[in-house]
Amino acid sequence: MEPDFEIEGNGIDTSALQQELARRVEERRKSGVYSHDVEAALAERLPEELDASNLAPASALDYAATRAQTSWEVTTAYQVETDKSFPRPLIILAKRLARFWARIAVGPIQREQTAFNRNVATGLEALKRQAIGERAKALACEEDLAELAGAMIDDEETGLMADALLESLGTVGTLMAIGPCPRYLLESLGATGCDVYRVSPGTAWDEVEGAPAATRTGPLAFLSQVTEESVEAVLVCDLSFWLKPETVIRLTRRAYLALRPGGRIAIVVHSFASGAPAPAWCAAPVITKALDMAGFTEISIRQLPAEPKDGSSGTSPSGYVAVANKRQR
Amino acid sequence: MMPVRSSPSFHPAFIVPRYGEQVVGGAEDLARRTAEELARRGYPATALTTQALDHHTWRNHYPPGACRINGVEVIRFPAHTCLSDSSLHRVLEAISSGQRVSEADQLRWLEGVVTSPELFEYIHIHGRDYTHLIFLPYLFGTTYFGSAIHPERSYIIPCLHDEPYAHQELIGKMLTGVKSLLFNSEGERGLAARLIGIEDLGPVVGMGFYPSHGDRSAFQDRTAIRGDFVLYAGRREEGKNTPLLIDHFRRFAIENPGMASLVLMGAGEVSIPPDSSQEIIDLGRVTERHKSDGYAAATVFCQPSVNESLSIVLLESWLSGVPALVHGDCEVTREHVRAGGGGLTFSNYPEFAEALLMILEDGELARSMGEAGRRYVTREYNWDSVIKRLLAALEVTQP
Repeated sequence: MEPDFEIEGNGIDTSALQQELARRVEERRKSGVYSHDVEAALAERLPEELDASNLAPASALDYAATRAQTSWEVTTAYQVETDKSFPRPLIILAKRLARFWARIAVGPIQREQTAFNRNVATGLEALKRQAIGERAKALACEEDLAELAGAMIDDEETGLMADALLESLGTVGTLMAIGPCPRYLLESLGATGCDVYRVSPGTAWDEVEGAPAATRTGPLAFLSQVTEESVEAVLVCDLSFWLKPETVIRLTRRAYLALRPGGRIAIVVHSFASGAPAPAWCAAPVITKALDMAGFTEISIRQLPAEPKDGSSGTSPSGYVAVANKRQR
Repeated sequence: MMPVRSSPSFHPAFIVPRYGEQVVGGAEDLARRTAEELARRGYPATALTTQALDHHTWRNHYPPGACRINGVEVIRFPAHTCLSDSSLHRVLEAISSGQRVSEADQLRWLEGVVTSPELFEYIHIHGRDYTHLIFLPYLFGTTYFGSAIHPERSYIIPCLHDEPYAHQELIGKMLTGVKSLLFNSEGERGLAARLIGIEDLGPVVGMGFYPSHGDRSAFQDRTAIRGDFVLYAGRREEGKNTPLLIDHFRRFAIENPGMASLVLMGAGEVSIPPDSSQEIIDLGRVTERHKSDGYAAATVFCQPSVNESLSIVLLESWLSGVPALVHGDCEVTREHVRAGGGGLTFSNYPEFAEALLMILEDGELARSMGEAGRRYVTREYNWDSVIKRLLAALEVTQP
């Protein structure tokens, strides 16, 4: 489009430019580009309010911060519309007058509220960033822990355990690894084409209300948010590192709910964690019982070959893989 | 450049609450650059200031006594503040919310934020050693109390904004009680006339600028920002309307995806919504060199603030030939745009969006507006013109 203003001499005809700008704005207004629908849509990006009360603190914070960021600005410029056909102009006029009056009457309060909302939104965002930072640190610690665990597992055991897990689990498309997991197991699963999703033990932001402070229950909180009967397989490694016995029971029950019918759970316990000084609840009979209590069927324990103890006639405790199925309908 | 000549009959003192190369602030920058330019031209210039560096705490940062910065003699005195006093905050709150406050409370405000009895004592004893006492900006005790000591030789560069503080009776009395006022722009002079009700309070002097040598490719190398972008440079705070700019641009980016990004430079916190982190890029505080490079690389410069008495960043951006978008409610920047033709004004989102589209879609128009802005700054705000206007305003006989 050719501009209807002139650029000449030492400068620009600014008044013509501003008139052109005003004309374009008016044209676009008439075409409906700048409507209250757009305003309303921008202020309300999220379609509906969710009940965030049952989420872990980190998730609730994330939700609240996102919500606050998209809706901190309050306005009296709400949309005026009516579905009545005959007296429509009158109704629209009345509503517009009401809106105009509201703007005058509550304008100062609205501006104060907007300033307050913005401050709250900024604060929530800062808090969320802190929570995310803490999670990143926790994840790094978990990686370190997995590395340390790897140092306690010799090459022979890694080979045997990987084979045992893959054979017991069978073909799996998607698997959720809960908590620290040695890298070799993840790599073995990945090599079969399985998509592995890892859930970190988390931080204090992931604590479930009522859980002991020393117990990191992030994966449990995560599992509680997973849609029921949506997970194909779950893998848990070396429980003694991060779970207390009562949490083992809660974990198996939550996993049962999250797994789809016929879904599988695998619990891997390496040799260093299957006997003393590791806690007794890591022993195969206890795990079998916990899986049974949760409702799993076809529970099988695949024990690795025991190794002779150095300088004695006995044998060291061997690692094992426990696998169980959720009932088919 | 004008001939350089030392003039013993002309030795001004600039009295400003903070002074130094590290000090952030428009009025402080204006005082320092003007004093340095006078020194460069062979005129003796002195700055009388406090030891403070930042205007949030007014903590004494610099050592007291005399030193020399870029040819200017700087004498620092201890800063005194009562900002920790809650009663002062009640007064500040009342003034800033537009309430009418008593003269006693106005005095409490001017005494409480920052003063320096040692500085006032010095002005009282040595004030007549200087030919002109130039105070700035209007809203501090250093100006209010200092300019009353020798009003017959006191000038104020008020750096006025249309804000509640400027409407206080004591400020009006102060501005009419000195020998003359010196303004940064026609817009500011108009604002002063409106506030005080007197038409001719003093001439426009302003601040000078040297041609810009920003490097577009250096900016692109360092930041990896490509394509068209809108630049904002300056303090990021509500008073400067940066939240409004972010809000407008966020909406513009949704309606016109991929057309441009917004780049922010400067001190202060800025809250960028997570859903706009791709389009709104915060570079934080950058060096003067990097700022010049940013001007050179920008497609549009936006000054959303309505509290400006000169807008140094707007004039700097024009020196790089960048068209500007300014808020229509700011008398000063609106007048710059009207007089120079270097940009467009907006007062609401539709105007912001359409003005930005006009500039982004019409490269020839953008270039012409940028050039017009450059010509305006070069013509009105070059140092030769500014110093000439300053000397004329101070009634100094020029060689």
